[in-house]
Amino acid sequence: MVRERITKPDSSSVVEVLSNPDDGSILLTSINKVIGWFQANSIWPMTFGLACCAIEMMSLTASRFDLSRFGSEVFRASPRQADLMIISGRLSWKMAPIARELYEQMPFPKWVISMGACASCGGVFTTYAIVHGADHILPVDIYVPGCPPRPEALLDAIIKLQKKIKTGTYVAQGLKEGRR
Amino acid sequence: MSTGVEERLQAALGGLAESAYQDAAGESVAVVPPENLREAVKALKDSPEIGCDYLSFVSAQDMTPRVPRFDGIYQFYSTRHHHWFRLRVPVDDGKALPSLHDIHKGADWHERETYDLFGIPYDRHPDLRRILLTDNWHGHPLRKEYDYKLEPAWALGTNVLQNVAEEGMAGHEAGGDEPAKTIVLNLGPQHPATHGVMRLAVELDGENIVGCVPHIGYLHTGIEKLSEHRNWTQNITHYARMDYLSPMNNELAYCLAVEKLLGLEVPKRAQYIRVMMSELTRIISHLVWLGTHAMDVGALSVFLYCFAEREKILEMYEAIGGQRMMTSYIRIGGVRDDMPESFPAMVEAWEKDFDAQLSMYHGLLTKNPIWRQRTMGIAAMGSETSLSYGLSGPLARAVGIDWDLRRDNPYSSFEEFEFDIPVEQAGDVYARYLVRMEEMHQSRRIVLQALEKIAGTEPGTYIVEDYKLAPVPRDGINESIEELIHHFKYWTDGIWVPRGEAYGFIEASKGELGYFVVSDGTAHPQRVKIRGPSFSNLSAFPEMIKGHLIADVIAAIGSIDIVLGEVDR
Repeated sequence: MVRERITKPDSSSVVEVLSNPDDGSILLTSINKVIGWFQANSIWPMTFGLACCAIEMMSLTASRFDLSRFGSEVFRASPRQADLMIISGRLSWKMAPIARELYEQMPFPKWVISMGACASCGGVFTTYAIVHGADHILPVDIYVPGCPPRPEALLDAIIKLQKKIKTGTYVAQGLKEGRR
Repeated sequence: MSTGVEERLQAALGGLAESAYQDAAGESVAVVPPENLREAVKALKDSPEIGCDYLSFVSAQDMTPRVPRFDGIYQFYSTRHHHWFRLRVPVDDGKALPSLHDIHKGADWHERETYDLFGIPYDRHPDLRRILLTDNWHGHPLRKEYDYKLEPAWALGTNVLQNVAEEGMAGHEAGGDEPAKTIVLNLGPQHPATHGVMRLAVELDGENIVGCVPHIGYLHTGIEKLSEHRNWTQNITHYARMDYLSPMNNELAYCLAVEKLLGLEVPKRAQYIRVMMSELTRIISHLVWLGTHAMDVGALSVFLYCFAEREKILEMYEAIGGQRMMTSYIRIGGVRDDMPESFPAMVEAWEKDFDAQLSMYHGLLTKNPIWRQRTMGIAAMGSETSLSYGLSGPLARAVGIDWDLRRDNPYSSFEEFEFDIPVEQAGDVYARYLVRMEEMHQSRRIVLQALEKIAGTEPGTYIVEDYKLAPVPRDGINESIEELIHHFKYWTDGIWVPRGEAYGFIEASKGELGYFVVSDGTAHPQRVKIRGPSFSNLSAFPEMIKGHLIADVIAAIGSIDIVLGEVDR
């Protein structure tokens, strides 16, 4: 049987199309890739707004930027229905245990985006009240720079996260399998 | 500030005050010993000439190494006579101040905050617990010896919500043999309708609300402490991120306070630009309020329209300040840069359409029977109670209190502008809605007037020409060593502000926003107290919501228009 690769084998491409001279085309893939493909295009973020960045997160879902083009517009208020946590703003020590609990309540697989300077490292607020980086309490997949980041920047983060999901290289995957 | 307030103040207080004077910034201050405080506040409230019916804030200042160590600070306002004044009450470490919660109901939360951040106890306070920090916090951050960078690290496994019933209902008697009639429902801090991270413990009898205790502080950032460790110009950056829905309002109020201390006259062009930007800011803040409020009540499409409209103003923000939200555009002595030439065309393109947009929102909501049923008669408060809680802005105007700082104590040349102040009588959620809708319309009028006035001023005069207070233009640095030195001193040392204290206030989108700044004559503030309107407005929430149904909580929260960044600071 002569196999001719039509698409280049790329870690993020879902299917490998093989043309078969005998009976037309064949699509080859693995179950992991298909699941990753589904997951990446139907991310449900949690309605978890903290500070300034939350307003830009809202802008992202609203008219101009329209996150639904990328399949992620279904914001869920309950962590049990969500698989993406966007830490949008400064995280205080008083809020930290609650954020951790919300993360634990989310079902696997789950992802975290740290949005903005405050969530990533404390930003300008290097004070007693603020956690200097959300990764002190949560495993973070993507860090978005900016204070606050533009909606386009968050959109880019979500697209990057989709690539990670398709290839199965996100942090929580390791947690589930017991490695870090 | 009307003249002669300090004489009237002295007359009203009689022997209760140690001294009464007008300070360098022209503000009336009286020093009162703690044992006379309650009588003094009562006398001021009842005195017809002073008539201080509104307590703006209660705070304190660490005067180390002076003995007694602290000064309790009480800022008052009269909505009848439109004047401010301040009481200073010296108190030693460990000694208590008398509580004012029965004279001014709003004092309750402010005293809790002062207790939390300074460790000053209040006698006969009904519920003296920490309010911004967690109950197991060590130390009091605003004391001078507290390290502002100190990172507390305690076990994250602590479930802070485990004692909802006990913690939530401080006065609620549990136990007894009879089965409990009421249940306590926890709302937040993760809830889409709390507009951020606020937590409510609501005590319910069926669907009726018996009691409600708001818990705040989940976004406490320590901005006031951080202010003492950054220079006067750097601080502008933090304040924009406080009330993040109206960044330029915060910058303006702070700059007004510092300019008072410096005795600075800002160029007219800068004043008009400030007016224009603060009114545009009011509009974007109200648009977010309208969109989210309507979405909470069930009208989803309004949210999409409001955010589309908001984007147009954010484009103007980008054009003038370089960023979508946090521009740090308003600076001490003026604004950072001149208005770009393309700006008037942007405003004109936006304003042509804006009235039609507003009438569309009216068409979607004002006569909508569902909207009216959800909002009319909900969370109403009387005017006396409102003032006692320190409610300001649209909430006060919705209950018939005809008070707007832009008209009554004009700042930044507001006296030259023509605008109407909407006042409603009902005081419910619907009245607040009507007031804010009309405010957006009036703001558009002010923006257009400001644009006209800016055109009549000299281009380039956007900041004071004093290189000790404002940065040197780039060209000057290459030409003279003098200007290079100024440039270097400005960006390394910052501005040095003369010793004194001042209160800068504006009518922000949510009410009276004030910055009380104290300088000890150096490049850093000695104390900055931020009086956020949302804090006082939210403190009235339990009273507002009592007796309503659980579903009304959502409509009521939306109508207060809280921003947790400003409540918690």
